[in-house]
Amino acid sequence: MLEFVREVGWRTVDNVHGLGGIALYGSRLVYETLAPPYRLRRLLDELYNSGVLSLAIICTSGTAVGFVLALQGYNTLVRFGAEQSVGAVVGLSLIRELGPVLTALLVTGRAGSAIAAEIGAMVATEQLDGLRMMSVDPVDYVTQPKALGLALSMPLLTALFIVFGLFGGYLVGVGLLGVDAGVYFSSLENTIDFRNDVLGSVLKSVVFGMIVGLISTWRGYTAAPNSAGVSAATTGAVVQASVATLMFDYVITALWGVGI
Amino acid sequence: MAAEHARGGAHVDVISVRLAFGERRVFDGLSCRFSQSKVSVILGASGVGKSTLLRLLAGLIRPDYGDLWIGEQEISRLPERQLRKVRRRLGMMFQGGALLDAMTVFDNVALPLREHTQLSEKEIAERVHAQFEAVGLKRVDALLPGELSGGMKKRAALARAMITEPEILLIDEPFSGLDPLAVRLIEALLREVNHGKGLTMILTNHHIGSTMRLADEIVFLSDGAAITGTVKEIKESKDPRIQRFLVAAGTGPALEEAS
Amino acid sequence: MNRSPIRDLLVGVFVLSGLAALAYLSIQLGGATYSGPGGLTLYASFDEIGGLQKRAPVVIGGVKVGQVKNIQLSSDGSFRARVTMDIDMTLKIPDDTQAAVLTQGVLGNQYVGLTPGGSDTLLADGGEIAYTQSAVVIERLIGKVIQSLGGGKDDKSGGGGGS
Repeated sequence: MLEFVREVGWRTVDNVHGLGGIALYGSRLVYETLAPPYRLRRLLDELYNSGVLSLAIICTSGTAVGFVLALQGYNTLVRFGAEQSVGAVVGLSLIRELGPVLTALLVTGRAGSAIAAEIGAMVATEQLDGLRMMSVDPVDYVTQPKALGLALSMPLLTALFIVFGLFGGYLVGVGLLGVDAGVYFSSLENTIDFRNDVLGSVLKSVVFGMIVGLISTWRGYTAAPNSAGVSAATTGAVVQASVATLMFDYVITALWGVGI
Repeated sequence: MAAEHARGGAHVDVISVRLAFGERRVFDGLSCRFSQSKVSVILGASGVGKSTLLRLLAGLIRPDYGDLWIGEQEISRLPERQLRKVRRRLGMMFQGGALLDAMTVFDNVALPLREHTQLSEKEIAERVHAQFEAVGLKRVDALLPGELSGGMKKRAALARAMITEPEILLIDEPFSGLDPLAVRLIEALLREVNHGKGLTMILTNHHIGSTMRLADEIVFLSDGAAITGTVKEIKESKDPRIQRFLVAAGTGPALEEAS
Repeated sequence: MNRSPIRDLLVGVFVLSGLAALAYLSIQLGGATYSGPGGLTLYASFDEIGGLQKRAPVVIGGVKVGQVKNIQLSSDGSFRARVTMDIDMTLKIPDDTQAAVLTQGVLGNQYVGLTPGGSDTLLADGGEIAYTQSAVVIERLIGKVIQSLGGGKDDKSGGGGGS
């Protein structure tokens, strides 16, 4: 019994310690982003790695989600005779929740895990120590461009996810289920409001981008220098970034709804 | 302290260093010195702390207690920012090369120049190619580190360490994973670098043969302490630990003794 | 770094298409055009606005011409609801226009419908619509119906009003 209490106590202290670590690391990232040298070449490379390489999964998933939303939405709305509003249903769901959250989760899986693995492998093969010995800060040179690249890619990918989702909804709603094309778009346009919906969505995607960038680079940076460590860093990054995204999703949704 | 170490002409001084990783004591009052312009080899069985000592000298690990002197500068308690300045005087060759695998060999060797100097691309290219020649690498510019052989990786790592013209070269297991011919080649290269530039070189090695051929001084690590001597002194040493090591090395792989 | 030119192009395409998507969502769908210094601001006071909310559409003849910007209790102590509306500034609204709070369908969202009058004088920016028709609140309607069927104090009516 005493052992259990001790274990709980130790884990709590350990977690607080970890939170402190990530907070300090986060402030270093912010500093390195704002302070020169700006490393645009590396940022472009990272935009490619996080953004361009995620396009395939984002666009296909977005379209697929659009298909499902239109189908499900139609099935429910048709009971109330409101099936012409399917455009609004697809749009609202995508813009408010599914767009930012699903994009964040997909990007975490694809780019977040890749980043954690890459940085972790660099730790294991002493590449980061090599940089230190050349008087180059690994946070400045390696992790910050990756974190920033991912954070900047996220809102763009989210917007594309949503657009592809709307298109998918159109294909199913109009093409398959016979909703009028004009009505699809007009119900969409009439229901979506910039401040209520789109702005909140953009805010979410920006925050999620920063969270995933922070966590995936942090897990890689603090990986144990062996292959087990790299693997733990990768899975840990995906799990922690996903959970953090979902928690922040609630917080932002609640706050955004309250005080516009 | 400063006067004492300056007198011996020592370039790098380790004074009463203690280090433990959790329960495991690695060094318990370790003291040794490495003389200027000499090739010093840290010798010992696997796991005795050779690489750890090298990393202490590089400032990558901090000791729990004791002093580390690089020239006139004590580094064990230096904040990271100032440590970066001290590292300009050091060059380090890692066991696996530690080249960045996402960049070409050329970009890897050019990195220190691009980061810390204002040289033009043309001047950088000249220096990089001069280094390639000095270490015996040809036509590697566009290759990725993953495409190099073990020996070539070591040469590239040496080129990168040397390009900033350091005073002290730290080398972790330069001969690991090399065939006997490659070992001889790297030996010759290191000797040439030492004679040609008068660099202080500190190597870790568990390979007796190359140590005996290369070293001016040997620092033998055992039980968390060091025994220093010239090649002759170590060969003729009466210390049982050294004798055991030399004998074992003569007939097979060095004994593994976790301290 | 010989992969760069294609990569840079792809990054550029990616960023541009992402920004285009954002612009589409914001402007085309979100209608970010109505709120702004170019809008015509009009006021109308109602006794009852029912479920009218901010950002509800303002409609003329079924066509959306603006949105409700703000709803407050009027400051002159008359306890009416003062609605601020952002209208498309290219429209000319006569000063005898009537504003009514209407419902989409039977149970749908509420919106403001404007019926323009025939006056030659136009409402300027900040003008007040004098003729207003309050919202129909279903509960009161049901209450009235029940009252008119069963009389005021008759127990059998099951009480007045209520939802």
